[in-house]
Amino acid sequence: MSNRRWVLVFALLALLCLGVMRLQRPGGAVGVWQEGELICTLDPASVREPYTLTLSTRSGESRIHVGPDGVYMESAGCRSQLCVRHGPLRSGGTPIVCLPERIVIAFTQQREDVDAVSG
Amino acid sequence: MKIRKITFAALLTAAALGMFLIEAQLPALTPVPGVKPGLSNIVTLFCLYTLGGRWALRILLCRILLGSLLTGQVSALAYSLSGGLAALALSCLLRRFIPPAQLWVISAFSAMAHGLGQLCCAVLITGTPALFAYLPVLLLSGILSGAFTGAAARAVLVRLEGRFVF
Repeated sequence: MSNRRWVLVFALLALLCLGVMRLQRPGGAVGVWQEGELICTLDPASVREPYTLTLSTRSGESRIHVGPDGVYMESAGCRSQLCVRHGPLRSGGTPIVCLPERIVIAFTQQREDVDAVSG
Repeated sequence: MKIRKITFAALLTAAALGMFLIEAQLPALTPVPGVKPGLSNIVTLFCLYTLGGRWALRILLCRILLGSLLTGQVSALAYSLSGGLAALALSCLLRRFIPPAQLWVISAFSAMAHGLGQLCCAVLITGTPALFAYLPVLLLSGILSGAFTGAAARAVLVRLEGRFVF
């Protein structure tokens, strides 16, 4: 296959990836997982007063901001700080993940079992 | 002959490790874990075409182990291993069907496999399938970084053609 055809193949693959990224619109409740366990489910839409969720982790603690402005990692003990740089969890965006601390913040499908503290 | 080969492999390991360590010091391009240029892949591909698959595997394992120890990111070892091994396995397979002149194609596919391998490992470790939402981002970055490192490896191979015959 010629280089031109391969470029076309990769361009199509890239478009497909972009399309899938745009299609991801879960929204709704937000789940927080630590070490593979769902530790709480939040509903940022119903939160009036922002609060901070503090999790004990391998290298200290990680602080998660929950408020009307969204859910984001305020601080983390990891070295890369990629989870902090991720910013707020957005509908259609990628989950917030801290691999060294094994914390994942992502949208969940079920909204019923929300156990968030609403301000 | 064997000593020459081992010496050359050691040199390549040092080069790969150097690239890996320099890259580790650079600020991350995006806040997405796993998105990086993967410059040390240039050495892996170069090794694959000069010394063969077995030596490429040995150099890859040495680079991953030493890189994790030297950067102090031992927790990242599982991700590096899963991604690196998936990428090398696919490179070895595609090498049979795609000519060396199109090394950028092999590299792009192997970089995508690298992202997929790392992602599967992350899902297994964190127990969170929601992380698969990263797949399109990792595949996209894999195409770009893989094509670049593949083209770079090809340029080195052309430049040094015939100099390393074992």
